[in-house]
Amino acid sequence: MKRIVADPSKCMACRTCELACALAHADTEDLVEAIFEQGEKPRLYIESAGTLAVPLQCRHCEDAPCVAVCPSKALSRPSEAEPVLVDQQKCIGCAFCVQACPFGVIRLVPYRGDDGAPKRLAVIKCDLCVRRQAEGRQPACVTACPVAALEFKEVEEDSAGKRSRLALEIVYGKEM
Amino acid sequence: MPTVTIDEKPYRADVGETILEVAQRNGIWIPTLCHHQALEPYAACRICVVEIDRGGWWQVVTSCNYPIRRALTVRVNSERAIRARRGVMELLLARCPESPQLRRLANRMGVEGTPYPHIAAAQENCILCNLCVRVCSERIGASAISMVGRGGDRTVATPFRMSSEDCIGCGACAAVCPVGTIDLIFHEDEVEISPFETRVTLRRCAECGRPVGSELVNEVLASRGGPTLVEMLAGDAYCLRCKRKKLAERLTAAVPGNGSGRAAQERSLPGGTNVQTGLHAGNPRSIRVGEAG
Repeated sequence: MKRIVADPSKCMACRTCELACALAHADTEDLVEAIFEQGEKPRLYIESAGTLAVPLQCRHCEDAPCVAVCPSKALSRPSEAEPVLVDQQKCIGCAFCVQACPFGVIRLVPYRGDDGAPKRLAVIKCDLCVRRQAEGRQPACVTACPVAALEFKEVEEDSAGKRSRLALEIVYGKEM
Repeated sequence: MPTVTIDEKPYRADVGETILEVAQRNGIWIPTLCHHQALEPYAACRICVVEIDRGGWWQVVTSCNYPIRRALTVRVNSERAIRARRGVMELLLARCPESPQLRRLANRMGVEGTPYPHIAAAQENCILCNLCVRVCSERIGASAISMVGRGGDRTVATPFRMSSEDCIGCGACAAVCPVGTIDLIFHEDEVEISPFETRVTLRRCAECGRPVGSELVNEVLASRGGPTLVEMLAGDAYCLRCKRKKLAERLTAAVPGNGSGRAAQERSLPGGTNVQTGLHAGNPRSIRVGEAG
């Protein structure tokens, strides 16, 4: 499964990814309408650490605690090759997953049902933009990042890149 | 596979599906209040009524719990069906005149106000949809609240209207309430579920002191999750922001320029937690969080 991989040494904390994420999950293409009128919230978060910043989102854990504790099966993982997804229609807002998530990347927000009925709270989390992926596009945050600090790739692909960079460093020194 | 005809258009449906499910799947809007996909249909609020063809006469039924057995002809937007739903909305508005959620729905249905007098204080701001009671027993398994009283006194309450001993303080009742009547109020070391006058012990973030959740929820989670989760929950509780802060610190610890070498691998965080980051910082399994020695 491809994952969103962040490079903290590139991130400049511009938060473009957060806006792109909120827009990608709204019912509109209009950014102002999505953020101010629909109140759409991002599924990823820029956090600072030391002198760096890093975008964080659901890590789609193999043994996901959120899925294990969900009492209404709103959170699920259809197969190992798919991300952990939330069905907001089934979410009952108990926030079990919010407490169980070790990384603080699931949160409870006001939710309007697809039927337009004004109601209840439901959790949101990164869905690896399954809707965009179905159209052959990359996750919104990855496309939006102006400095390519976010990449969408297989974990093995990422490790292979790290290994080859390390090899170059060992042979030629840091300048490479 | 029976065909359901809704407002003169045919749709395919499975036996056992409800009219509401077929309508929602095909983008036909029927207002709902007491319906929730995680719970069994209940048909308490009556706002989802539609007309069905009974062969010579049309019957008004609740769409959320009417199962499809064979071919069926439904009218969602006939004059009579719309009038029936608006009538229900006017009655509900008399119960919850101040609920913004209910007013928005009324607005969408073209209902401007209610001709009915306001309801007795005991039932005010509650449409008796039973969602809170159902979510508590069906999904959470606590059954801390139930319907009490009859007729004009019927209302949702804890046993004897005293602080419940079964409530775990998860707040699902508040989250599903379609008219926004139930609230969580955070006190110093307790969370209160209003209006049930029930209080449970509150866990606060070990780092910043923000409310994290109820102590009892923590116990429930530990019983549902695997050993890793149990271990995690046994430690200090952290709020969303502090959890993310910690993750960000772990992920950046090995980056040159943000501290380097040994110092980056063992960073002392405020709050006395010592984080050791493995070589592959992207893998949460290589991270060990323990108390500072």
